[in-house]
Amino acid sequence: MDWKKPSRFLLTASVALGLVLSLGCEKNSPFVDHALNRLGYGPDPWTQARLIELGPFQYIEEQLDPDSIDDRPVETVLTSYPSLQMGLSDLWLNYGDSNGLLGRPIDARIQLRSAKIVRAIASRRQLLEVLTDFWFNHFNVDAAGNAMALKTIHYEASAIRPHVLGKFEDLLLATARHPAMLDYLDNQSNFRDGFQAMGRTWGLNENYAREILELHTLGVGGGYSQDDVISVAKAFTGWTTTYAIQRSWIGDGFQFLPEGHDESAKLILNGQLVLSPNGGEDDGRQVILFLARHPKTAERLSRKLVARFLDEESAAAVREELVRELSQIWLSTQGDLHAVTQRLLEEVVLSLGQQRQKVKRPLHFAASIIRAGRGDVTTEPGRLAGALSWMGEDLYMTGPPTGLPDRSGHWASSGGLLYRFNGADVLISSSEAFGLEFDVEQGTAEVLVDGAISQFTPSGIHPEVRRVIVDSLDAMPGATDREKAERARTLVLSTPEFLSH
Amino acid sequence: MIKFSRRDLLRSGAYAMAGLATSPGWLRLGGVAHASGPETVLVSVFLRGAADGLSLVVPHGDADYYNLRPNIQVAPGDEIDLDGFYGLHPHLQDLEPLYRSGEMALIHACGSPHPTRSHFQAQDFMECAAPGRPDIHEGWLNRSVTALGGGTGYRGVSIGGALSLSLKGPEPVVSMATLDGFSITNDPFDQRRQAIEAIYGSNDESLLGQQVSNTFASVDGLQGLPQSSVDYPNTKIGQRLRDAARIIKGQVGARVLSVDLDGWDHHSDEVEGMDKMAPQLSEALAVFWADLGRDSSRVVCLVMTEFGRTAAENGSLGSDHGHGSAMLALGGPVAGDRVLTRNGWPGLDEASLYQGRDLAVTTDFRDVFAEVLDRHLGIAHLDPIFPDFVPNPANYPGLLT
Repeated sequence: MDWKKPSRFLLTASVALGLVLSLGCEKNSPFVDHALNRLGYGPDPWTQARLIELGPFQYIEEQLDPDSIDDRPVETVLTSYPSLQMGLSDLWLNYGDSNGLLGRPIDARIQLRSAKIVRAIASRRQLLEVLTDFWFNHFNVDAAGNAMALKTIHYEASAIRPHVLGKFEDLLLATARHPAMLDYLDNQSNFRDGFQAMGRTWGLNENYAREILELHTLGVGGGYSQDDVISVAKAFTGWTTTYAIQRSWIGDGFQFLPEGHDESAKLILNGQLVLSPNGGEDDGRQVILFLARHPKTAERLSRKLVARFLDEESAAAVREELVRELSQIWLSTQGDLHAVTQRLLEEVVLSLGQQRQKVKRPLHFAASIIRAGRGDVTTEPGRLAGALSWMGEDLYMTGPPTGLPDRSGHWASSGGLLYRFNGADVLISSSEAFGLEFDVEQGTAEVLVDGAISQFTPSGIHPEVRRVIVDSLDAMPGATDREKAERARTLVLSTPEFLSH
Repeated sequence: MIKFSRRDLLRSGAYAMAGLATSPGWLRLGGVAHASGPETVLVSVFLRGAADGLSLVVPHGDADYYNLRPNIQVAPGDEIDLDGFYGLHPHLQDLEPLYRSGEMALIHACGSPHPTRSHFQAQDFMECAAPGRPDIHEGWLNRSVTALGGGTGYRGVSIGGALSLSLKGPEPVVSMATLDGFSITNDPFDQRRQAIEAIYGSNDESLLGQQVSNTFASVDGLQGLPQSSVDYPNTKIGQRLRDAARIIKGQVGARVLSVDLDGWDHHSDEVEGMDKMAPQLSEALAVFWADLGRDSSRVVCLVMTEFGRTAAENGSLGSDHGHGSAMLALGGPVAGDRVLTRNGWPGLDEASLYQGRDLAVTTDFRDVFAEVLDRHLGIAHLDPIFPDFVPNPANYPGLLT
């Protein structure tokens, strides 16, 4: 094993090394289980082997450079979803309505949802997938409705995915300019007061301005006022889409309409940002740079990242030092998400105390079953999308701009638990349909249970719980090995250990 | 479980994981007989996204309404006139008979005294009945369930997906996507469920364990309720209210039900937005009420939203985040056929508008909540339900007979 360590973190690296050596860095170690459940959608044979081969820090480095990872198997599967690669005009041509050359808008949305499931299950670029999920949710848009479905496909592919390990200001700008966001938060119709066009008189629309301040950057306690919302709205007047103006998609779909821009001077946050008159399109860009590099943004988003990947209680005193460190990295690198994420993940893999302190989200729950079961992703992933919505994660269809919350309490509602128990049952009892393979197919109750534990909860489960499951198998008179094995797997997947990560 | 001790999850703030029983109520549950006689029920319908009270209940007697909204007004005469001054949105037509028959009242210029125009903050404040207290994370309906005293773990039911914040808190309650889906599949040996119960029952300190225990007890308690014989609209709100009616009519001990309807944030093209949303609300509520039949005599349904919208239309034929809105109250015990305001209509002239732009709030939403809890659910001690607020019957809007 080559334990290459990042030089900046010699100390933590040596702690990690000690930890890993003492726990044993093998397939069934809690360390590997924890790391792969936080840096992705749970262990599968490839990530297990890779993490053991590279060691935690080099594994993180590789995941932080997704292009370096050969992902051809999943890319091959994704070729059956041609909409993912299309520009806006091609999306409209091929899927725009019932006369679309390749299908209807709903067919494109099915591709979008299926692709997310396929990537969660099969992509080796696991970190890219969980980061894309995190930042999409942060900059949430809702794929309900035909036009939003098509825009959302292009939005994730062009505005979110390419920027999750780049500069935050590029991510923020890409979302601000994208037709999905311009439509969803109404900035496409935000013009200076009295602007006359298309047979109408237009004026300010505050929606995007408020949410970029409240949700995307500073946060609700960020110190802005209603006047700031109006000033920011004015700065973004005229940011619209080619379709809104010309009824056709050109290039990336963004269009700045100078005649619709409010050219007055603008003061933001008591003059922390001053925009001179006649700033044109640059007004919005300046607001984005200002907000992206603001200390409140750095702190708030550092905290949000900590809550998602390390510890939900990110406001606790014990996390203050890390949040401060991440904020400092953010500010000194002008929001380099690669640097911030790297430092955070180094902490995450060392924090075994946080293992199983979060309830898995529905997609994580389902994907981690299929990953551990070496499942076949070419089976219709659309079947899973419906089950996930019953569990509370209706992929790309979250209405409010706040996105989905990152609190275990939200994900462990009574209905959510029942649907997980039932979902585990369905996956195991129709394992052929999902191509699941199992390490242990026959043996005594103990052998079957231990086989399921080692495959699905490699960190182990509580001995009392194991005993309950073994007893349950022993109370199946006349059952076949297969029936017993299925019971063992379904129950292991229903344990608190498997429901959490 | 070792990894899921109560202490750990309390520390991680996850006690809203429901089921956490600080009160012993949940222990007494599970198929236990319920109080004798039909009980009163509260249904809370939350319109998420800030529904425009000025479109739902049009002050057509106020000329400023038309001046402020040249393009998104309900045109004069299009409203369903109620009393010569207020009118219902034309697409709330299915609610008109309920208003006329005295089963529906409207409360106008109602909302929160807190100035926030953030959706999520205002929703949190309303659902916790605690404006200005972001540190409070327990819902007013959960506290109400506690105040109702012991009973089933499904005295509070949230229908439509995740548990709404209104119902979150230490008292055990349940949430479901749909009533028919709220079940546990079993295996041919009929033992899987028992095994899962045993897994979670093996550690009663586990929060998930208490959640699972309450969930299974609730599955039993809510099982076998007769299907609805009425055709509901095939909308989310329609399907959710159908399940609510089944639960209410089943008289299984559910006292507080919570239902959401998203989609009211009409920053642009509000006329089209209202044309889409108002019929959904109106049709579903009207069918729900007809379905309840004589059971409606013991039900009050409050329809609320986090805040209203700007009095003036914005630049894209919509409206932006505002302040006061309107609330709807249906119920057998409601003294309907009235639009209630405190000290009359506050007016839409610039001097009367909140911060010069929004409908003022003259009725604190907590006074509406308090009246319903006091006079409908019969909760005697309201103080624990309202942080920083002492309910005073003199301030009740006078919703109930």
